Amino acid sequence: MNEKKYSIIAVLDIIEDKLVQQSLELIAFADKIISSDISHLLLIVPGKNTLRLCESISSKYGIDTAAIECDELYLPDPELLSGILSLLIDIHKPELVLFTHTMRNCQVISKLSILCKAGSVTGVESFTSDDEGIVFLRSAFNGKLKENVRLKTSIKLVTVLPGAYSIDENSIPYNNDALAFMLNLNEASGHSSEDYVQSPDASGSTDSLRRSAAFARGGKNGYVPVSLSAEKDGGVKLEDADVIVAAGRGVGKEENLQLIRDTACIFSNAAIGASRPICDQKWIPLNQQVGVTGKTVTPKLYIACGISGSQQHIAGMKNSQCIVAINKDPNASIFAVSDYIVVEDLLLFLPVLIEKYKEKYGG
Amino acid sequence: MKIMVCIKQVADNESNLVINKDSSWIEENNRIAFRINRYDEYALEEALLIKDAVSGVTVDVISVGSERVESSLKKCLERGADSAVLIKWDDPTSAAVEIADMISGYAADKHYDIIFAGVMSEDLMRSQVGPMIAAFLGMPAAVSVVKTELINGLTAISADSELEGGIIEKIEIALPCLITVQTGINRPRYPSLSNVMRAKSMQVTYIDCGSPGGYCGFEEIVSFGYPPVSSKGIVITGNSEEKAEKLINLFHEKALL
Repeated sequence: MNEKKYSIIAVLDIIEDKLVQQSLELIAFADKIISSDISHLLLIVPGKNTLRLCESISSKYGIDTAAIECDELYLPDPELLSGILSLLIDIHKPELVLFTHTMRNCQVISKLSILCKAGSVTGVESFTSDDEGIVFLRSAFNGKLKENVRLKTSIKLVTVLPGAYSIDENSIPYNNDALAFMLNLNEASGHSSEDYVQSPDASGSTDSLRRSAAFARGGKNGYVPVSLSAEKDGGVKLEDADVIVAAGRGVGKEENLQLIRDTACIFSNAAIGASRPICDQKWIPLNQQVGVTGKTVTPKLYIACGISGSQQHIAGMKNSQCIVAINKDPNASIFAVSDYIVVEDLLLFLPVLIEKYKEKYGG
Repeated sequence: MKIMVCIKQVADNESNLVINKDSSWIEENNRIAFRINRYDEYALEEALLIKDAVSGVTVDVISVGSERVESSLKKCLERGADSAVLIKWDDPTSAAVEIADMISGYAADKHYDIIFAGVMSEDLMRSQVGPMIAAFLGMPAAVSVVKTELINGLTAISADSELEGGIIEKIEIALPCLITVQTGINRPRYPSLSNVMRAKSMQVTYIDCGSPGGYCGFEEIVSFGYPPVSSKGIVITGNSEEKAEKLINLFHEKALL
């Protein structure tokens, strides 16, 4: 049995045993940052029953992938996950442990930082290397400034901003010998080492991992996930739309959202999006929020209406194929990522736009 | 029941932020407005709502920073906090782990039942100090919370913790615990006249953090810089009718109408 050590571990986001596709971007980041070849990357797929998912990822990308199976990981449990990961990190002593930048993963790496005495950095957008190692680039002050950070510990924990790297399957080297294997951490499940399809781990360490997971789960922690719920989608879903018409603080009042809806109606397949402040007001459901804490979208056309352009919003829409921004402030940050800039008050301009459409196309 | 709320004072994002000479931080001049981190205002409000609803609750606020932070802590007292502590510390760019080490060091023997913090600060946006305090104190944490409810005879909290993409995870978390709060959870109050009068006679307690523990030197901020100005955008010109016409033509070319 080989006792392979991995220099980079990337932890994929799995919710109810389903992969959050975006977290595959970590593969692209790992490929760019890895100093050796891709066979030193291990993907972690935590959940209740994730071995099949793990096998499909491994064979699709040619990367070693480990399912960490534990009934309690069916719903996201950052407390339990960080306990388990700290043990894996102790075994492999990787240089880098990667996560997608979500609030949960910030929690996980914060806890890991203390458990493993490892430096951590969140919301990484890119990196450079010099004689002293890697310098991570991230945003501060809502994107108005950029911060360059160096981690000085041998193990480095990183959350990577969604959308910062995109995965192009053809450009990632494919390792034909990639393995998929499972670490089953369920207590008294009667499983023995046969459960490990092909485990490159020393079996001793797996045992200790299982024991420690049982300990981490012992109820002592006081954190119990109960259920997941999502608000009902109204109309076209953001991820299915060709066009997203998005509302920001500039709409001013809830009744003005009708203008946004009317604008969406001129397109054949458009959805309504919003920035965080609009969702906080409960004017638009949270599942239509675009941004780091909402959804990351890439429609054919994104129309930002009265959105000033916080870093958190821009990260969620900047990879749209075409961006049109309408804002009365000529210095709005949103214009920096826009393909077409319209300096107008949306409350006056959108009615004109809709009228022009009707003139030309009727309806 | 004892509650602690962690507050950070931040430079207002709308201020004209200028990086200092050695690129180590912003120029802290008098043109910058300093105020309470917005996420922390929601954290304080959530604590005060519990104080309003349950008898025998005290709410202490704590911050790490220079004397300037006293003004923000005073504002918390005006809103109804019972006491305020400032750990004196002059490095505004200390690693999250160092700040968390200081705050948890202070809180270790105070037996807080709930610690609230904002989900992130608006300046450094790390989202780490809260969960790190919990890790140091050995208590569970729930992050990005948009609803809390005390349950089981005030021994636990049922919390709605927001995941990305509009998904809510309901969790139950036993006290003592730490909660980081997202915007939208409540509407922060204005100070009442009686609380403003009360706060006038209250003092902010200063604490020396002593020497930092074994967690310094994990990271180093190399520099701050401005984002590249990358406007590749085409400005649509003309009066509003002409602009509208140009946009409609653009949408038509892209076959999206």
